[in-house]
Formats: sequence, structure tokens, C-alpha cells
Amino acid sequence: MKHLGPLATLLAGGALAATVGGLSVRAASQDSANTTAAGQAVTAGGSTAGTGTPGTGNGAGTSGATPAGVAPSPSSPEQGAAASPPPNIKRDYAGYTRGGAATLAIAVRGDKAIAYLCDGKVVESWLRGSAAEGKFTLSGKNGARLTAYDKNGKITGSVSARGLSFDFTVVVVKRPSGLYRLTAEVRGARLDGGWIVMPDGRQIGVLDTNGTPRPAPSLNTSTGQVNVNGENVPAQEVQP
Amino acid sequence: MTTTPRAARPGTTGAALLLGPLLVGAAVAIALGVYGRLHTPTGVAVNLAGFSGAQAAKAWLASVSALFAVVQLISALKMYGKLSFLPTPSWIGVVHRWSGRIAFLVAVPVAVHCLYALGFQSAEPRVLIHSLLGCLFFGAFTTKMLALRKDGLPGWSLPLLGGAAFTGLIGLWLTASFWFFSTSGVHL
Repeated sequence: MKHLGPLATLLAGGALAATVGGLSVRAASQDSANTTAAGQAVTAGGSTAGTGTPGTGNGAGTSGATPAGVAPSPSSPEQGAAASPPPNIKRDYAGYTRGGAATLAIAVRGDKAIAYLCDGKVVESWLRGSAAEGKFTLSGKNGARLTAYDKNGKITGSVSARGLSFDFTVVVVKRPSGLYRLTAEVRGARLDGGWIVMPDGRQIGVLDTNGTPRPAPSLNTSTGQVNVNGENVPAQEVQP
Repeated sequence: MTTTPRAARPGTTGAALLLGPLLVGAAVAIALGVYGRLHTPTGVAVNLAGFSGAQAAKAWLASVSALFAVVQLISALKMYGKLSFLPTPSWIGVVHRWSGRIAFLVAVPVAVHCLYALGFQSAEPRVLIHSLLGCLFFGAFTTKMLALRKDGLPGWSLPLLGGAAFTGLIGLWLTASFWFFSTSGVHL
């Protein structure tokens, strides 16, 4: 036999793929055990649930370095006005609308923004638009509108969707808090979900299944996955 | 497609020799795509210590791979007598072989994570292009490795296959690592 080198390279790649694949199967099965526990902690409403769970056991998360940066309590975002971050880095803002009936999150990068208004039950609206020079002008389906201004690092304005209108002020939040979206097709069902993860770890989300909204199952912020009827489906951070 | 009866006969030369490697490479590309599409993504796979998350680990591994791919391009140009303003060291072949092996082996764990945790996705153009390029790269690489074992190939075959693999890998890097670094910042 001649020219064995290339074949050896391919076989080494195959062996490596099998090894990493095997380890991944193990990581995934360990994680699905942890996900159940993490989900319960978040829905139980403990104020530290969001900061406490990501580190558990497996290292597959995207948030290993972030817990220190998470605001320890809902009262601290007052000081969150970061001094002019680099324009091309994404910033996430989140907060309750006045009166607390709904939550709003806005992801901003450069002069583009995507916002999500959600009450965690059935009301939800995605909006997209411009964030040029501190003025936010976003629009969404069915005439949804958002106008707001950046004031000292907070975004203040009003949003209207589905005949309802809300005033709001949202502040900068740090990963794993922020805005997540899931769009997927699982066994013929069209899934479209949005999650707002608040600084205290609380999650507000709605998951549409073939257009029917219902409260979203909890999102595992360390893995980015959501358990939908026993299937693990990945959600993504919203990127304007 | 025309039939190429000469391919089966040993000792033949020419483009027909590429048929076998091309078929195997195409099968690899299709198998990866079909697996990625049909298997339900887990969202989780094994992670490397020292990185803030799986995405960061993948972005850096893929960058290492892309760097060696650039070494591949330069050493290949050199071996084909281009870049004549540079001296040609006697060990250029060794550099080309080993940079290729490293680029490939470093890319494999990244691809396993992509396939196993995320799958073949088409929700947005970047993700669709990335998924397609992933299939292309491993198909082209397999074809090239198998083609290397044949003598008497047309002169254009290895540059073409190597170019396809290089294009695939750089495209993969642009649609993932570069995107990741430009949206999340450059961090470990």
C-alpha cells in the first residue's frame, strides 16, 4: 500500500469525532438531568435562582464567566449606566412596563435594535428598527410601535401593540439576562418563542406553537436550550 | 452525467480517477447534512475548560483551524511554484501536510459540537450558509485526502479540491467565529 498518510489523517479525524461525540452524548444526558432541577429553581421565584444555577456540574454553559457581573438584586440596576460601550458590541436592556403588567427587552447593536414586549401569558410582540443617535423608532406586526430615548444609559419611552399601550424604562442587563428567541420546527410543529431573562433570574416568555401562544417553558440560560414537550430545542440570544 | 468505464481499470489516468474520491466525498457531505437536519439538536455537548462557554471555545478552535488553513494556502502556492519571490525550503511539503492535519483535526471537535448540539439550520442566511459550508468542507476534505492516494490525476485536481476545502473553512470561520467575535467581543 502506498500513500497511507491521507488515509491515516481521515481515520484520525473519524476517531476524534467519535470520541468527542461520545463525550457529548454523556454531557447531554447529564445536562438533561440538571435542566429539570434548574427549571424548577427558576420558576420557584427565588431571587438568586438566575445567578446560582448556571455553574452546576457540567461546563457546557455560555455563562461561566458572567455570574459575577449579574446584578445581585432588582434594586441595583440604577447604577447600571455603562459609560459609552463600543458601538459594535450588543447591549441588552430589560425591565417592566409601568404598572408591571408586561416586560420589555431591547437588544441594541450600533444603530439597530430589536425589542420584545411580553406579558408571559399571551401578549407578545417583536419590534425592529433604528436606534440611531439615542432615538429608538421600532415597529412590528399589526401596527406595533415603539418610540423611546436613551437617557443616561436607560431607555425610556412607550410601546403599543395589540391595542394596548405601555410606558417603560429599561436598563442595561448583563448575560445571562437579556433577550432570547427560539424559532424551530419540531415534528411538524412550528415553534416561535421569546424569553426575557431579568437580572433576578426571572424569565418572562411566550411560546407560539403553530401560532397559538402559551406561557413559555423555562429556558436554561447556561445551555441556551428549552425543553419543549420532552425535546431539547436551542434558543438563541437575539442579535440585531 | 456521462459514464466513465475507465475508472474501474487500474493504471488509468485522468479525471476518471477522481470519480471514486468524489463519490465518497459527496456521500460524506450529504450524510453530515442529513444527520444534522434529522437529529434533534441537544443544545449541549462536551466543553473545553478555560473558556467562558461552548461558543467561545468553538470560535477560538475554528480560528486556530483557519490560521493553519492560511498556512495551507501559502505552502500550496509555494509548492506549485507561485510566490517565486520567496525561497522554497526543502521542508515545504512537511509544512503543508502537517498544517493540513492540524487544521482538520482542530476543526473536527467544532463540527461535532455544531452537528450534535445545533444541527443543520436554515432559519437565517448566515446559519444556512454556515450549515452548507460545513457539509462542503468535510466533503471536499475527504475527497482531497482520497484523491491524494491516486497517481496520474490531472494537474488541476489537487488545487481545485484544496481550494474548495480552503474556501469552505474560511467561509465557516467568517460565518461563525468572525460573527461571534464581532457580536460578543473578542474574549476567551
